[in-house]
Amino acid sequence: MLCRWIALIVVLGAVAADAQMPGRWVRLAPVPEANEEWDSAVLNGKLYLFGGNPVAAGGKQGAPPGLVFEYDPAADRWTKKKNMPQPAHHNAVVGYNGKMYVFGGAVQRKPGGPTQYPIDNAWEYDPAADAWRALAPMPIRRMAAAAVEVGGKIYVIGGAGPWPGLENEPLGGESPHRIVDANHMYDPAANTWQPRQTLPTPRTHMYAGAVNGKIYLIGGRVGSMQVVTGSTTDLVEEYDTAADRWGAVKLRMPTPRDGGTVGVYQGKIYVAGGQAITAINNSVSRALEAYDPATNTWTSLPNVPLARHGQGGGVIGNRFHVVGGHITAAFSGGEPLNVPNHDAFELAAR
Amino acid sequence: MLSSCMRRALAALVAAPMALGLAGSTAGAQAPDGRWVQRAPYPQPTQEIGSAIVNGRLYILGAYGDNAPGGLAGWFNEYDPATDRWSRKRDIPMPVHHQAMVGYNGKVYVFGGGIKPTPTGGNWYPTNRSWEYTPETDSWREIAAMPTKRGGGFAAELGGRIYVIGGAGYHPGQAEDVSISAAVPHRSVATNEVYDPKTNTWETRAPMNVPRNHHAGAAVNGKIYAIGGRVGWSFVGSSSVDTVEEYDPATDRWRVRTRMLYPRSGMAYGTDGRLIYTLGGEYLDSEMVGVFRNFEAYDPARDRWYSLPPMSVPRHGFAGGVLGNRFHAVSGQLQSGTGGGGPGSSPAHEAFEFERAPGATASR
Repeated sequence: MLCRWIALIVVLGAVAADAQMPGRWVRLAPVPEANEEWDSAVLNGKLYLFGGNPVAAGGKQGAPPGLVFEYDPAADRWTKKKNMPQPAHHNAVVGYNGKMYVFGGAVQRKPGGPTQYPIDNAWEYDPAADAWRALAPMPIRRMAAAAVEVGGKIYVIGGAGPWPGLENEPLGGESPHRIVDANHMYDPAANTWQPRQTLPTPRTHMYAGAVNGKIYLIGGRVGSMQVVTGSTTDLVEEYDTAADRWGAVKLRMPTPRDGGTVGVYQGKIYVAGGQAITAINNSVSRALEAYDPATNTWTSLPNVPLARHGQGGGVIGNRFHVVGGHITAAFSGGEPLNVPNHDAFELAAR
Repeated sequence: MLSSCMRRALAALVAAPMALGLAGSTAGAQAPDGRWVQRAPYPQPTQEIGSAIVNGRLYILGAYGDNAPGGLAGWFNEYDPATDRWSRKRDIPMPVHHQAMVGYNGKVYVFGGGIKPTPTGGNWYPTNRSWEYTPETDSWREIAAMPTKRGGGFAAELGGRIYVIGGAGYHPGQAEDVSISAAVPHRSVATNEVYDPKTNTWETRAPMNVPRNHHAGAAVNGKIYAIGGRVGWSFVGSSSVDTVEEYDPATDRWRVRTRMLYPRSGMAYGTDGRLIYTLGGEYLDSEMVGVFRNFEAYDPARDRWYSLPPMSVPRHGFAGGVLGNRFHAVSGQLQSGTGGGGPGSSPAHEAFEFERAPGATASR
């Protein structure tokens, strides 16, 4: 009798789960070059990937490749575009009003040398013309920040930058450097920058999205810019762009992680993949979790088919795309562990 | 599928023997050994207390939660390890919780914390008011206030100056006249302010990279270490970190060091002048509410963590300190997230007795 009840409960549970099945993963055209540290955003129904990780050559540190790829979902096809004029990695990227905006990142100053010099440069990329234009630089140098557009203004938040007085040293895990609390607002119409209320918990490699005029910063890394030395967090903070105020801390993300992909769809923020290193393990995430700011709740969704970090992606239509990346934390295993995989989760409409 | 808390718990189970193995195989005699012993119970069980060591005695300040009259009182007790006895001392004039404390040059120093200005109002107004206690006269004196109002930081003495680091306070531009809570906006701070007891003045130094509260900290060999704690807000629903940052007063710079074995907040901590000990603490998320019993030592000279035997009464909001060859762990709260209102204040007083006397006795 008990067993029958249990069986019934299991069946009912399965039915209930099925009725609520929030979507499914589909496999799409792989990106032409397997790489990681993709900085990405969606514009006019297409996905753009920027950056890529420097590739070592002949035992020497390679240069940031500054790659640019465009994905057209109608044709399920990738197109390689002109490289970035100032090849940088860990850029903050956002699409707005027909243009892509690329902020900061880190560069190599001389061939074979370190690649972790953060920059203050800001660029506008016009996909129609495949052309770049320099914008007013940010007030500070930083890499691995978040860029989010709300109401025609772009907020560049957090990241990692030099320790004051050490601007000519590359950022390193255990060397003094700053995790940035700066929150700067860029006005594309006026090409100007304005400081806004500082981020309470300075972090880098975080997930960010805007819903109803508020920006949500999710997870990421504190303490140090490198995953091998920093601490991964599950913290969620909310910024009200209209009031210029950071509000109460929100419900934590179920899994602490950094360096994955984020997308916004119908008022929810979707977080896929990423990585974490603790005192005892290195891991990459296959979690797909959705944050609903209206209810301050998290929902776990079906896992990403391949766990990884450093992937690009974003939401086009009802599909959350997850592209490329590296299948271990940090860069252990090197280039052979970069993947071109392109998965998309078909989100169910509300 | 394992929840994040389950995975963290499993990770902790894996971590303990791993860390012990490391300590045994590579650190040799550097890892301390010993055993836990019971000492005289704390006469006024409470939580969210602070500690300081002066002249080989341990001072415990604070009364918060169910046992404290009105929810907050200024209880103050002195422990003499020679007689294993507690003596009640004069209450602090302004009851406070989550204060930063340190002993230096024959005095107990108390910095900031949360206060309750009116009997019926909130109990978490971050304060910058600071105090000095003189054991010989059993008397309190107010000293220059910190530049920044905050609670939940730590204090460490180095070269005759006292650094008060981190905590939770207000946002820039926020009106500083509210009691903070989970519903009232506030933030963790990375603030690093240094007090000079000779001149009774404050200076502001470079902030940490990780604004945090409920962390551990101590000075060893000319540097100050900030360990673990909580980011975001001041309440345990916010995230804990495992980050260790090292401050060099000579260069006024911070850098990151090897993470602690398990992220947590609300620990008891102390140093023997060579190692920094972190004990217990708390954790709360949407799936689990708990307190820790684990005991770890950080070795700044080797940038390495050692896992030591756990204590018998898991708790948070308690206080610690090294006296002679013992690390004392006093009072505290048996469960997390009770908001100071629930039962569970413990009289527990356990001490880890080191096999070999550690380095010079130092303040918390």
